Amino acid sequence: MIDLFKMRCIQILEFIKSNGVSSFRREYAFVNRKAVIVMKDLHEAPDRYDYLSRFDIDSMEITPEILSMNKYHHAFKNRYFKALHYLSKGYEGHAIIKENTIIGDMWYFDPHKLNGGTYHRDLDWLGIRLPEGAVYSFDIFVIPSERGNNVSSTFQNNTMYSLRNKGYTRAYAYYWTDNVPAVWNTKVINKWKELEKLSVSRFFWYRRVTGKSVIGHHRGTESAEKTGT
Amino acid sequence: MANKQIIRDFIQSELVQDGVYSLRDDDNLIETSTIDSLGITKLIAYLEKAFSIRISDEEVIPENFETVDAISAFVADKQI
Repeated sequence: MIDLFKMRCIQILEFIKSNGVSSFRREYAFVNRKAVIVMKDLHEAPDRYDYLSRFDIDSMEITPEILSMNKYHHAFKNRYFKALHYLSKGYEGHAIIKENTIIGDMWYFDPHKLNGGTYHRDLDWLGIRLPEGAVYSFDIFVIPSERGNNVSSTFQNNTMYSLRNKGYTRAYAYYWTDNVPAVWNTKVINKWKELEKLSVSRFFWYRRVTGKSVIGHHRGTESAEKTGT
Repeated sequence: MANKQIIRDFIQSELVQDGVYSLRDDDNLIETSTIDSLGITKLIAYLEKAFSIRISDEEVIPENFETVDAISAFVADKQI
């Protein structure tokens, strides 16, 4: 049984160590922060794995077996606990590895493959109803020392390539508009379509959407198909 | 245009990998990966401070950042 409390404590400590106390407050307690829901048509995903091998970085699917092997270790302890936690909920993930160290991971959830797993609560507060063949992609992380050189955007693309090979046709996600690297990677480099902008207030694990607006030319069809609220 | 020189110098010194090539104003900064996710953060912070402007997420689009020419025109528009 995963110790959720321990995972949260390590997560908070590592976050503060990397980003400082003020960033922690900004991340966990805010009013009317803006989030954008985005969608990637996986037919537009790259048709091959990209150049991460140039940086001696491999990628692989995260499985319980991989985590139980002693071959790999996580650069950040909280990502190991998160991986255990996500796998226990039935989520699936990919990792990037350098010299047997897991330096990044990203996750996705398919509500049509629940099999006793846990419905992802982000979909509720985001108001997304995933159609068949779509996944919700969340929590992409690359350790700070390996960021840059488009490693994160390439990792995201490679994962989309894998999802397409598994038969998925669309991926949905969101980013905070004040997270400039996420805006750049997702919207500009990987060309995800922006669907809807939300105003969100949060106090630790309590979130509330206080406003929403449909973005640009997606007004209408995408919104009706996508949102549940 | 003075702005263009300042912007070019910043990108050349801070964002061009290894400083190995001399940046031209029409070089595509996105296709050449000159601007990556860390680079855009540095660049926006620099532009906001140097030119006393605010750049919103809606303005973070390829058309505004793909060349030195485009960035310079974007900044000039913001200053009007």
